[in-house]
Formats: sequence, C-alpha cells, structure tokens
Amino acid sequence: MSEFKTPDWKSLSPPLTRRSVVRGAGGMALSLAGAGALGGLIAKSARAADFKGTRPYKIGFVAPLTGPVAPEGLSMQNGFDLGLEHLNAAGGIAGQKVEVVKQDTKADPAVVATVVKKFIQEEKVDMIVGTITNDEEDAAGKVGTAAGVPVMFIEAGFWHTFCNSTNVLMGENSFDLCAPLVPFMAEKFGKKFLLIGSDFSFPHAYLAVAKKYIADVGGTVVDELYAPLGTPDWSSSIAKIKAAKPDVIFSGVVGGDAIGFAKQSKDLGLLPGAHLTGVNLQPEFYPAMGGAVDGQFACVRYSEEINNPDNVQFKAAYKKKYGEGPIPLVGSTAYYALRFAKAAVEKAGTYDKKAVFEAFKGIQAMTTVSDKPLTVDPTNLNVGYPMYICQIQPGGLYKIVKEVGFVKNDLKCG
Amino acid sequence: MALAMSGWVQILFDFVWVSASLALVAFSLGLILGELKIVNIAQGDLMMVGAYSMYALRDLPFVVALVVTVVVGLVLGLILERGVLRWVYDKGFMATLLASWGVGTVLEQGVAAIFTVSQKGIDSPLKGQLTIGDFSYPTYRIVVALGIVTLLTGLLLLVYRTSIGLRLRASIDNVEMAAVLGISPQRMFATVFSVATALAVLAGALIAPTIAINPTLGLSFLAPAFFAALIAKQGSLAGPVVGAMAVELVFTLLQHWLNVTVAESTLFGLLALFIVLKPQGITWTWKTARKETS
Repeated sequence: MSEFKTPDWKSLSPPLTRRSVVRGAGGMALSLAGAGALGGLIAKSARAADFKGTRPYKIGFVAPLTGPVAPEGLSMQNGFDLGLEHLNAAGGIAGQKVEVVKQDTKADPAVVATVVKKFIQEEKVDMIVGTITNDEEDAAGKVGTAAGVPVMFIEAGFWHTFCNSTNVLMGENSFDLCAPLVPFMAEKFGKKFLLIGSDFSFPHAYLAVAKKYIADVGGTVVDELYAPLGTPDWSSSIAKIKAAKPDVIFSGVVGGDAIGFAKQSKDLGLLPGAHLTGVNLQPEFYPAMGGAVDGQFACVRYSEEINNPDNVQFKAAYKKKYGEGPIPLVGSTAYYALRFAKAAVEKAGTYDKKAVFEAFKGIQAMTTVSDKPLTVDPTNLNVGYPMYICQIQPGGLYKIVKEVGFVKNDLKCG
Repeated sequence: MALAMSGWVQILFDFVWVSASLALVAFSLGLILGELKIVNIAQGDLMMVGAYSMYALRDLPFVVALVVTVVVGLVLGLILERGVLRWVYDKGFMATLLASWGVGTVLEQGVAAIFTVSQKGIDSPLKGQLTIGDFSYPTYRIVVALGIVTLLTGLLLLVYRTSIGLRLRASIDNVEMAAVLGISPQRMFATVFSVATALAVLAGALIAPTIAINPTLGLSFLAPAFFAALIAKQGSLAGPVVGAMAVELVFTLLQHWLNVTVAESTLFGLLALFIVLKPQGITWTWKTARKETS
C-alpha cells in the first residue's frame, strides 16, 4: 500500500460555503492534516482532532440481494465489501475497525423497515447504509430518522422526499443525470424527444426532470410511453417509437426490462439507427444486451476510464475479486461511500448519531470518480458529482467524450 | 390512432410472434391441467429453466443447444413428476398447487445459486430481417413462429388422429375407466408431465434470444398462459392454443392504442369478466371432480 500524500488544500477545495465556515469556526479548528491511508488515497476532511473511538463503529448494511433489483443490490454489496475491506485495512473509522451486520431486504419496503428497526434496536448500529429502490429508501429513511440514526443511501433517488430526515445521499440525482445529457443529445441529434420508462415512481420522476430540460433547450416531447416492470415484449412500444420518428429516445426503462427493451429494439430494427439514451444505458445492464447499445451516449457519474490512482487501484481490486465486465456505478459508489462516513465521524469527534449526521453536511472525501474531493451538499445532503458523457464502446467500455463537471442546482428543503 | 398499412402488418407479425410462444406454454399447461388435474404454478419457471439452459449452452450451435435443452426438459419433467408430484396427487387440489409452487421456488433459487441473479442474454442465431417493401421483421421471430405452428399442428394431430392421442384423451376424460381399459395412469401421468415440461422449457429456450434472462422471467408469462388455458373450451387440447391467440390478439390491439400498463390491466380485467360470464371455461377441473364425487 503506497503512502498517502496530503493533497494541497487550495488546489482541491471547492469553495467553502458560509455555513460550513461558520460551523467549522464554531467548534473546531479547521484541520487538513492527516487523511489516513486507503490504498494511497482516502478521505480528506476538516477534523476536530484525532478522535479515537473506544469501540468498533457498527454499520447495518441493507440491500435487495434477491428479487427484481437484486443485480443492483449484489453489485452494491460487492463494492461495499471491497470498500470495507480496504477501509479496515487502513485503520477503520476513528482508529477502530468497522463492524457490519447485513440483511437482504428483497426490495420490499416492509422488510426494509423491519430490518432497519432490528438493526437499530437490537444490533445497536451507529449508521444504516444501503438500499436501492426509492420505496426501500423511503422505508429505511423513515425508521432511521425516527430513531435519529444516519441513513446513507448509495443511490440518490428522490432527494426531496428526504428533507427533515437523517438521510445522506451518495448517488447522483435526476438533475445531475438530465441537465448535461438533454442539451448534448439535442445539439447532436435534434430536439424531438420521445420519453419511455418503466411504470413506477423513479422513472416518472426522472423523466419529469428530463422534460424540464427538454423545454429549456426548446425541444418537444413527441410521445411518453410507460410499461410495467417485468414487461417481456416491447414490440408495441417499439412500433410506436418507429412511427413517432423521434431524434432522441430518452429512456427511464430499468432493471431486466432495460435489457429486453434494448435487445428487442435492435431485433426490430430500431437500433442502432435511433439514438437511445438515459438510465436505460447503465453499465450494469450492458453485458446482457449483446451489443445492442454500442455507439450510444450515456450520462454517468463513473467511468472505468477515469484515470486517477484511486480508480486504477479500485478497478484492479474489483475485477480481481468479482471478475471481468463493466463495473456497475452502484458498485463504485458503495466502494467509497464509507470514506464519507469515516470523515463525518472523525469530524464529529464522537459516535453520537446526531452529531455525526450534522457532520455530514459539507463533508468531503476523495473518491474514485475524481482527483478532487467530492462534497456532501450541506443544503440537500446529496453528494455533488462531476458528470461525464460517455459513448459506449463494443465490449462495454464507457468512453468519456465530454467532462461536464459539477451540475449546478438549487435543490433545497422546504 | 390511424395506422398506416405497415402499422397493421407490424401488428399482425407481432401478434403471430407473441401468440406462438404463448400458445406453446398454454398448450403445455392445458396438457397438465387436463391429464393430471394440476394447476402447475411452476410452468413459468420451467420456461426460465429453458432460457438458462440456452445461456449455459451458448457456445454450442443453437440447434444442438435446443435439442439438449429439450432433453433436459424431458428428464426434469420425469424427475419432478416421479419425485414430487405423484406423492401429492391424492392429497387434493391445494396440495398439488403448493407442491408446484414449491418446485417453482426451488427452480428459481437453484438457478440464482448457479448463475447469480445478474441479467443474462444470448445472441439470436439468425440476425437477418425479412423485408417486404418498407416493412421488415426479424427472421428469427418468423422462423420460430413457423416452427411452433408446425410443432403444435403435429401435436394436435397426434392427440386427435392417432391411437396414442386416443389413449391420452380417454385418460383425460376418465382416468379410472381408462385404467380399467389398460391405460396405466402412472405411465400416462409421467409421460404427459415430462412432455409438457419439455414444451415449456422449449418455449423459454426459443424466446431466450429476445429477452433479458433472469430467475423470475417466467412470472410474466404465467398469468396470460393460465387465462389462455382457462378461457378454452373444456377438455379440448386445441383450446389453450385458441385461447392463447385470443388473449394475444386482444392484448396486441390494446397495446397499440393504450399505454402498456393500461393495456395490461384492461386485458386482465376483460379476461376476468369473460370468466365470470362464461364460467364453463373453468369447469374443466370441476367436471372431473364432480364425476369423482357423484
């Protein structure tokens, strides 16, 4: 393991917000020294002091390891396990090993609520990490908030439903996903958009955000199609798309349906001629698509192409442990998520759950996606990401064609 | 929505494709329902096994993989019938229902344990398109649909025009009387379940190149297949085939006019209404029950 060099603060630091400066000045000296070693790179945070815990820090990990979103859940678990291994090898949190209890949630909100309650009451965990779907997040968030326990979501979901909560959102939000992509596609291919999505809450919300940006670029939505999760045959939707002749197909079709839709679009001659984009093109779906989306453009927060030492090391370790193939976004996020937890606990200088949650606001950590630290936005508790527009290469490499940088948004609670 | 000519041709081809694959599953369900009087909840999972078998054998030539998969289906059917179902025939309807449910769950979890739950996909062996004017359709779908039509025609001829079929129909109509006449119920049950399993496995194998393969893929085919079998004329093995065509005709048309979610709920609403209005469609299993109790 190579030695970590503290990055130069000025070159790394995004502007401090007034609130974070006030908070920093209010209780602690803003110290940048010592970031710990985690494969050569780890969280850099403003720490109170060299806080040492008196017992292992305990995390409850909840994920849908079976059921319809199990592929995402298992990818998340892979990344989390690897991240935990590296974190503990580098000294854990507050000088203590991190202990984890895990349970499958089956993507069932009732199960999530029960498991989270059990972890908090019986296992006495200090933090909950995990979940994939919005329904799961909602259930976990409510229980965690009621108990005052920080709940870290690996995916972002609906940030706005989590105001007045103890939730921290590691994934990008729909604004990050749509804001750069809509103008890019409109400029490259034209302004006639067709929206298609799986018929549940996330795709509806995601496509509603897309519509806002389509209107901003003066584009039109020629049709908006939804099909239930588990739709085996997409012929009718594909026929409608062919008839509408859109310039861009903006898709919120997810899970196995994303694969079925893409494959059948190719079989029925819609692809590769048409321009398909959206969360339909997440790397975790790629291997089963049989090259149906090669050449298409996607907006992502992570690409294996990102060339920093942290990512190079992560890629090698992930592939060594879990085999070849594209690394799912959720796997890469789960890998570094605990670095934010480490930074927050050490900044708080205590395991106290409320203090740790407060410490998340404005906390920074180094990640695999950038050679600059990422920040948990103090207003909406959502990590801001530099986004990338990538073109999918045969074989599954998401080749960066445009570095978009951070997406500005005015998301606020209340 | 006004449709151009090519739009109607598209609907026609889509209809032929989806009803062919559903007809195969519905026929296999109808066989089991008719002969064994079992509502086989695992039928969708047997399709899933077919798709995974094709995935596991993806390095072999497609036709070879298909033949091996059908053999796997025959053997699996025999194992399930001899190993599980025959022990619960005399325990009543609920026992067989639960047994088949259990079999389905074991198959799903077993496949997940071997292949993980990650989505899999296989390539279509025929990548071309059949083009008529400005309309084109995947050759694979056309070839498979024609193959299924041929297979089902052959099977129906077997059922209605041969002595083997006569024995089967006799056994379906009255298993005790058929037994008295020398048609062994045990052999007939094992053979029918094995063949029906192989047909469901074959259906899954044939659609595998067009879908995302995952352990729960069978679920979305189960409800339409049951409706296809239930709205059929009682006791007729041609019934589920006609039922499948009826279900898919309505569904294909609804999907072209409505959003898929609305189309699906409308379809199942209409089917439920049909069964309420035409309950003789579901007396298939009751007929035998009444005979047995009278």
